[in-house]
Amino acid sequence: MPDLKYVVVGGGIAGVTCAETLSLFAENATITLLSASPLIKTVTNLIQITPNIESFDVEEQPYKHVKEGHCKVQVIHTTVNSLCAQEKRLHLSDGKTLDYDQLCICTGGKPKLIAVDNPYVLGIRDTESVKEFQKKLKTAQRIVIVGNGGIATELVYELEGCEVIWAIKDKSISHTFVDAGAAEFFMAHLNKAKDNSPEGLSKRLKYTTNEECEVMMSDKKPVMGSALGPDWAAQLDIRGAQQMSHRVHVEHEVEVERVLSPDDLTLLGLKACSVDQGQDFTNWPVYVQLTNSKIYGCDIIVSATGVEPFTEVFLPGNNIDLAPDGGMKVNSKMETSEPHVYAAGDVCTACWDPSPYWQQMRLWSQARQMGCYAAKCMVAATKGENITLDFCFELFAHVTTFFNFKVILLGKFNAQNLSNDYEVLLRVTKGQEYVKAILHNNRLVGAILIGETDLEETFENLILNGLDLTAFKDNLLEPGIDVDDFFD
Amino acid sequence: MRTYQEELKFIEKSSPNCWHIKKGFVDNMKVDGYFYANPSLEKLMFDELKQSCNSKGFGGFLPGMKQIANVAALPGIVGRSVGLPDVHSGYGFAIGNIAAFDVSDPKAVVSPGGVGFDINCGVRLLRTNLHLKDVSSVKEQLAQCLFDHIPVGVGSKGIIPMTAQNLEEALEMGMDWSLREGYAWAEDKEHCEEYGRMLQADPSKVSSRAKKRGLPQLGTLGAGNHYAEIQVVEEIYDQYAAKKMGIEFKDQVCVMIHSGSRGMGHQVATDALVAMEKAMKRDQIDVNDRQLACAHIQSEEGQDYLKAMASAANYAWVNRSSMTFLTRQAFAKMFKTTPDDLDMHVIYDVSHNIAKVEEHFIDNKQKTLLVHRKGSTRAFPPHHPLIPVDYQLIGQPVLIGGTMGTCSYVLTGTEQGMVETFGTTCHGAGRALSRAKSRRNLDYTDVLSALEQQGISIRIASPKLVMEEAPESYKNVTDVVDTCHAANISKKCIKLRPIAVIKG
Amino acid sequence: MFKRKLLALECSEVDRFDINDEGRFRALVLWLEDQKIRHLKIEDREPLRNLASNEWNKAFQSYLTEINSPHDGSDRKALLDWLLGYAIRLEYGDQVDKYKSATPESFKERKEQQLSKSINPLDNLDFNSPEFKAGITSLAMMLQIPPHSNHLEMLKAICIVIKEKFTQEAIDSAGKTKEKDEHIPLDKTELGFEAGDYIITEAAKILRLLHLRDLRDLQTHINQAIVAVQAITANPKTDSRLGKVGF
Repeated sequence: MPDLKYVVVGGGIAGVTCAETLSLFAENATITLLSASPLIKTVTNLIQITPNIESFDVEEQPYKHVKEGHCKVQVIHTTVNSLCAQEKRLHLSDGKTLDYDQLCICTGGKPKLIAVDNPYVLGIRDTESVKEFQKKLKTAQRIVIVGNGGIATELVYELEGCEVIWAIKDKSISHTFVDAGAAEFFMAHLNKAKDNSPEGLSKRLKYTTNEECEVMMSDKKPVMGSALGPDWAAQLDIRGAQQMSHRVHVEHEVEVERVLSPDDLTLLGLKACSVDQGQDFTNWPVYVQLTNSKIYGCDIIVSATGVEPFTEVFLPGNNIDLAPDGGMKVNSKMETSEPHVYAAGDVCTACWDPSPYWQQMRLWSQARQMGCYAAKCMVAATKGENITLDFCFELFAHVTTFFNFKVILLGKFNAQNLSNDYEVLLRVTKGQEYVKAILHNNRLVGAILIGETDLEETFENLILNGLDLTAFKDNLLEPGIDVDDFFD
Repeated sequence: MRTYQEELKFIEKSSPNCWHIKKGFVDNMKVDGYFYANPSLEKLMFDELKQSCNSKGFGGFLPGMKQIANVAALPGIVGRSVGLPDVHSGYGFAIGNIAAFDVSDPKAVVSPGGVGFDINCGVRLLRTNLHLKDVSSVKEQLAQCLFDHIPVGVGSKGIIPMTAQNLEEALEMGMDWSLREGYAWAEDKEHCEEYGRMLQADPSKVSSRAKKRGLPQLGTLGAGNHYAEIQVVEEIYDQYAAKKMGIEFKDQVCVMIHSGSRGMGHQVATDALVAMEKAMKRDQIDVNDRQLACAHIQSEEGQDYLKAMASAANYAWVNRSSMTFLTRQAFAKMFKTTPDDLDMHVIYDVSHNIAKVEEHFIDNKQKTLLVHRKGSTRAFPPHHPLIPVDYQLIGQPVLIGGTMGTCSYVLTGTEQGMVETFGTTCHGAGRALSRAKSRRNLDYTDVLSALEQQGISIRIASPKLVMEEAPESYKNVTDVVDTCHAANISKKCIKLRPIAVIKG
Repeated sequence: MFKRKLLALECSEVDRFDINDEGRFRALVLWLEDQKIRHLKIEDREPLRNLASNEWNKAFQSYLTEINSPHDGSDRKALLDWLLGYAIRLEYGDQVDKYKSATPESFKERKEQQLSKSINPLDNLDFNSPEFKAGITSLAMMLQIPPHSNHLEMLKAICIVIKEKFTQEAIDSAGKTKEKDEHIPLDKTELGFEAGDYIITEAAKILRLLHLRDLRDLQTHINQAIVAVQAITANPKTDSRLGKVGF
């Protein structure tokens, strides 16, 4: 029997996890990973904080790494031009073709740019864009960050040595992840000096880039690289030209109206304003006009407004259904509407009937879970075995760090899809912790835990247990009560 | 509702370290309640009671004394319902409550609340022949190395690969599975309560959801109050007993692992609570507190729970064994030698949350009892047939993990404990229910009122006080251990001090 | 069916013999000639001795003629029965006096003797002889073993002491664990029960300690058994890339 051919497209977390999982479980197979970037990501130091919350580090490694670790995986540095699902064949950029028995598309997303082809506007999404950003930042006095997601939040905190104007379309910061209350909790830390004392013991090795690979990259035309992973900013030196820690100014409920050059500004007779709302006479290389009609000048505009699933090359001639958000629809076995074509990570949209405590968010933690599960599904399909949805899709769980606080999101942490039919338990200790629990029908369905609360395992278990908390809710978060012991 | 003064009439000091809760304190008490406390711990107990009398109480959180008494009202309970010095509020039974039920009594019950959610949560202590000075210079690296080796969590394809079939076997075989696969040493089994395997385990009684929850977590530490610690011997109280355990000198390095059955135990307990609530209606079992869901030991629900509980207990032993394996690897790598040469033997492995069938004397008659130990540790005396041969002369070692950062202890079981507490002693520290001085945080009002306008109910707890601000509510591990020693339900043997902590 | 006769001849194959087994049959014939009948000269028995040979039956036929067997080989059962009877006759003829005096009682006695009889010369010692008793006493004195009314019990004690203290193994291991060797403080050891009398209590303690030692040995053997099984079953697997937990 000839070897089965598994092909994974995408060198991001989902793709690499998928390929590595395939190499663990597949038998008599050749596994090919196509990566657009010479760097591929590996997840190292996976830390499971609670069964469903895991924290891990993403290490960029030259693609040889996968070859060494799992001999059955072959990595090809190339891009895909098109897919012919009928013939189970990929057409590659170098004119070659590649046949497959099972294909998994893990091409992630591409940043939504607010202005295309403007050298002063950077989309931060992947490793390549961070490198470019770092170069430009060295001389920057002021930057404008547009976007309110995780990358924008981390960037605002990690950026040092320049003034930051943070334009967000929501009423509160970091809206994608946390509610307004938590945002208020963070606001106090927005302009605090970053504590640069070396960290003690680390459970997470930090993301690092390899200089050698940077050289390899430089002669390539910009292709979509792999998405950023957790802690991506922590050890990068992202420091502007000024000798100061933070100065962050937030513009709420705005979007970018347009990006203006200095010439445009004079031509239109507009005036830029300074942070304290006076007139700004500095000559900036670029200006941005917001929907509240304020105009700010800056050295760089960073667009971190999220991503769109990167699907286009796979669509022509094939019958791949897309979800309204542009992702490839996948069922509970990670299959797209085209047979033998799977998708995982940011490129796909989960269209199965989800557990009441789970929702899809385009995060690295889900990219990893999906990549792994897609591989298991592919193997199960070839073996004709049945597979049930992995337990990691039972409960949404995400851990990250914002403003140097551990942030854990569980289940319906923002009362997603609960309309007004829920209760909130809240405990806030300024500068220390923010605990918010969402109760629905007297059962815990979600939580936001910020700071060292030590509650994550208990809360996760309470959600999964579905225990009736009617008797406890009045006092559940009282600091005098040891909930984690109580339910031990 | 009685006043605090009226309640006090039911409580009486029976010995310098022990209080007696008389029948009538709550309805239907079949036996008396007892709890152990020294002056500072007893103050916490009484404060708890007083506060629950004065205010509306703590909702579903009952004060320890009430919980002990409610357990004393369960059908088929024998002897006494005992609270240990670290007793504190828990689901159903208080943490630190022991109760025994006569297996031959058809009315006697088994209650998942008497075991707890984290079934067979427990502590294991490994010794080494290293001295503090061997590790102090490499402490950070060693801790990092442990972090690299012990998954503070691991997926199903993690560091110890597990399939669904492996899990079934592990649930049935407990530590024997670890032995068979080569993750444990033969001597580990010898020094483990129940020899690391409950024979009545029946994985078919464990729901598939519990298995799905447990599979990715095997060999992982967990978060919250679970941890692994590198410790050094700070004080030896009983030279002879310490020597028997291989503890020879001060500053000897040990490793303590505190972990349990993770989500698997939670699911087994939850499944049983649901099943038993139905069985209680059918069998007309009345209890004082809804949290005390239970079933007749001989009923189908009771037997199913005991078999599933035993499976979860086996899971916990495999879990601790796997982490022992990884700890040994980490040390071997760090010190470039073998775990054998480091003498990394298991001193003992105790269970905190478990129900077991044991032989005890009640009114001078030998009886077969189902002993529920929740947040408490079995502490059998010297010469008891169920303790390892190496400890026959000194009594069973009892491992008391301090809450992170505080000291830990090794105790030994006593004859008096066998008589008074069904051969049981404390398990660690604890926190009394305390009503924090209401310091409602007035910030965040905008955000909150917006939510309230939408008709969403919000309950705001007082902010967390730093521990130093509220030491009075905390049951310190040293107080707890000293009380047990003074009451002679266990003896102090070794005190350990942490030098590095690994936790999720 | 030949059991009684075979027994009478003290044939060791008695339980295993099967007339349908050609090999055993031939071996029995040879044994009878070698041990009992002794009709042929030793060197002439060679053809019979060649049990696996195709010529054996021929040799057997001529042998039967030589000893005047009334049977040829066609009915093996009848032939063998006669052959055994013949051998018994010869055996009896050799030791008429001995068998003449045989009574059921003496037979029984002999049987008992047979049981204890073996090739080991030590087993043929007279355990009740005064010399033997004296030897035990002096050995016991040398080894400082307290006296016991039954000298055989004392012998057992001597055996144990020698096994544990003076075998090469014991001496080797004693050398190794010398530092670890510790004394158990008898007076501080709790017995777990009260015997009432000081001496009895002490004795009970010693018994208890001895019992513990046996238990320890048992446990060690259990551990050894586990280790032996592990050698076959164990195959611990972890991710080979140390430090990279998970993926």
